[in-house]
Amino acid sequence: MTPPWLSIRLLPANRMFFRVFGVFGSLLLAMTILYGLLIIPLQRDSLLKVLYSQATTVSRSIIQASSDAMLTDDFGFVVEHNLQVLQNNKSIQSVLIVPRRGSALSISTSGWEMLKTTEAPINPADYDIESYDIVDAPEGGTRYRYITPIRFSGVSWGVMRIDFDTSEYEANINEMYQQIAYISLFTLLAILPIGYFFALWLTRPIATISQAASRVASGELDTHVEIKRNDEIGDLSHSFNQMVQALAENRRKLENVNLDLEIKVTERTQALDELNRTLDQRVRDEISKRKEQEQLLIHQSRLAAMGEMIGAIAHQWRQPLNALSLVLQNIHMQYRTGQLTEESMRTMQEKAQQLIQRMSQTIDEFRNFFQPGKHAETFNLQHAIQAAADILEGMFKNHNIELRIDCPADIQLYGVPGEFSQVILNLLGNARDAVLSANQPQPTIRIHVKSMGAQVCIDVEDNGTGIDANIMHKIYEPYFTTKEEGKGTGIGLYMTKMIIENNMHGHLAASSLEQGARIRIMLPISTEAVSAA
Amino acid sequence: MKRLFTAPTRIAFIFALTLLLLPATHAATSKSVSSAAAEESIRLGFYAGARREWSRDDVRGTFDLWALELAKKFQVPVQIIHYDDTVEMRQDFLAGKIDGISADAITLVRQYKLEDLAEGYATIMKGGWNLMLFSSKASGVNNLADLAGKRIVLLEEDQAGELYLETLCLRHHQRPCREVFSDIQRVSTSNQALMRVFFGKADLAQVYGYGHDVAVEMNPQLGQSIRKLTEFPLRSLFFAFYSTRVDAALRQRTVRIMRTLHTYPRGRQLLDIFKIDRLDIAYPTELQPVIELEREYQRLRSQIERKDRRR
Ligand SMILES: Nc1ncnc2c1ncn2[C@@H]1O[C@H](COP(=O)(O)OP(=O)(O)O)[C@@H](O)[C@H]1O
Ligand SMILES: [Mg+2]
Repeated sequence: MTPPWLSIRLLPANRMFFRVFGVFGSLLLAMTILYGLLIIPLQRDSLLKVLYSQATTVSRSIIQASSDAMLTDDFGFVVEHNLQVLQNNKSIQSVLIVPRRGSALSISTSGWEMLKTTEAPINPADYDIESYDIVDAPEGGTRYRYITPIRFSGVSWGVMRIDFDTSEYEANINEMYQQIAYISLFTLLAILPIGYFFALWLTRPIATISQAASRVASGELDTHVEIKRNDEIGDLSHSFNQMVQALAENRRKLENVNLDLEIKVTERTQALDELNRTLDQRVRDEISKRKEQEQLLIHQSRLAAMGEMIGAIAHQWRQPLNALSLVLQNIHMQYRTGQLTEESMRTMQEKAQQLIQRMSQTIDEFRNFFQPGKHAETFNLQHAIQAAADILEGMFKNHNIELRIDCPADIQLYGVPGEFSQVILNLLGNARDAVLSANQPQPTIRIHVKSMGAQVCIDVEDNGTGIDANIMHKIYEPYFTTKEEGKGTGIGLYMTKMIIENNMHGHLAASSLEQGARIRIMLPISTEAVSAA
Repeated sequence: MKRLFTAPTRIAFIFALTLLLLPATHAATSKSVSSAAAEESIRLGFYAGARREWSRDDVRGTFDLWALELAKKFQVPVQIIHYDDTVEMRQDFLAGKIDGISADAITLVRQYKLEDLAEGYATIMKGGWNLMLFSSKASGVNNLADLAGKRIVLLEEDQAGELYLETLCLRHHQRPCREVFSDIQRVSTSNQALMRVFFGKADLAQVYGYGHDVAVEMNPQLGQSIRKLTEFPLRSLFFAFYSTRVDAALRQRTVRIMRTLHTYPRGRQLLDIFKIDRLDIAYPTELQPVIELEREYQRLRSQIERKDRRR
């Protein structure tokens, strides 16, 4: 519909223009309305003041002229006078006079009326001071109502109410509204051209730069803006041109860098492909290495346990072997002295038989202990600890080591009993090594168990060397040992931690005491009954 | 207020007089317009009345303005002769120095012979000119026999009213009013008089019909609080009559014009200012009831005087 030249030249189709135009226009309009809103109450007030001064003048003149008549109850005169006032002053609509004594008089241009005091619309007692207000007239429209007490030498005689016609007042107000409406209209009309040129002046260079920027954005880096102005917009266009130049320069540099980068990326990609190809093989290799190591560890651990076992058997067997040796010496001696009787031979044979029986039993016990079922089951903690302690009993006695076990009888755990025994044996072995190398005069090892709700806490304490803070973080590593060649393997704590934390879902931690070390194990308590022992 | 309610009676008086200008004007027009103003002018007698409270200058001003206005309309100069004394006016009339007179019914009845007067105009008011005597219902006065010892309000300067009331006193109580009533008050308007009765300041009031209508229109309560005891019929209190010397054809023509005064705007406006309803043709014979009232009064008074003398 709009001819193209109009849309281009008269209505610049950029949003900025409309915004500036809109903001400028509404600002001007808002100011006009605000002005109107401020003026209206002021004007209204001054008009009301005019009404008020008129009201006071009229009421004063009426009271003055009627004072004698009022004091002598000559109401005829009062009515006459007021009728005259009404006749001469067309803006008064009615006068109401309510004396304290006697009947109220209502006087209007069309007539007058006597009201009973009880019918009077106002009570003199309620009007000690004058009051005035614009009230709604029953016949429509409004009237200015002025009420004043009538007093003679300070004594209240009654009250007078005068209603004034407000048509002049309304006309003034309406005229005022009209004027404000005209001003607003004028402003509105003025806004169109002024706002148009203002917005155009402000937004055209910005639109130009914006369009240039769009061109730049689409890649036309040879764009140049021609705005010669001595203000921020001029600066902006200048900076813009510089920026575009710099951008073009940078793009050239970037293109070079890009080329380099592409070559590098190709190289890297090839290397990565190579790596990918070998990675699979490497992972497989690593895994098999890992398995081998683990296997080795288990094997070593078993060997270590075996060593421990053999050591323990040796200790267990020392005493019965000595006794057996004595029996054999006795037999030999009695035979040489001829004292060997059928009777004594039988006694000594029985004794030897007993000793051998005991040694055989020991072997059986050890075998049972070290060939545990691989099944996890619920077992009694106290029994498990006691069994492990029994194995080391002989050895501890030899070295004069005191072992104290303090464990409630009714705690059940769930796990592979053999593994748990291995844990206790390891810890007791380490404690033994520590107290011996510390040359402790009273070497003591304590196993202290206490249940804590759903958990049980097992402390294995010794008064040995203690663990140096420097190695504390290393002691769980496989093959870490501080012991001399042949004595330590470094596998014990590694296995122990594995069994407690991986297999039995507990937790193991070591700490140094004032004298010695403490290994603390936390394990979940099993609520199941113990299966057959 | 006083002035406004006084106005109808007063102005009616002036107005009636003014009307005499018109026929004179026509007469003059019919003769010659070009001749000397002093000789061609119509001479009218006007009695301003004895009341001093009503500024004579005001009356003259108003009257002169009217005369000018009317003269301009009919293009004839008018000369108004103001009289302070009714006797002097009568002498000039008899001597032919003036062509018409305006006065109230009592003055006309007492000072002029009906045969010297030709037709003229009566001032007709809405509500009429009937004289009415009202009593307050609260006063207990139910008829004319109860008047003794009561307080009455009359209109000031009301010769007709005084005459009628005196006649009533003599007729019903065989004594003059000042001996019948305990108190006689005088006010300037009918409305004031009736309000005094309404507010209990008096027991009786004698007013004219139009005054009563205006007062009751202003406050219907007032109409309900009073009772009409008696009434004297009067078509108008103020008249203007030509001299019989004025040409009869001229008189009749002007009468026709003046009777239609209330039918055209300018005339309506003039009548409205003074709240006069209209003007109507009047004949001197209409004064006959007043003449009879005057006669009755004289007769009753001489009867009483004779009785008193006998005592
Ligand atoms: N109770 C303890 N007191 C002092 N040091 C200990 C104790 N338990 C373990 N250690 C330290 O932890 C190291 C690792 O222990 P472990 O894994 O059992 O291997 P090994 O006993 O064969 O040395 C030991 O060499 C020792 O230094
Ligand atoms: Mg160890």
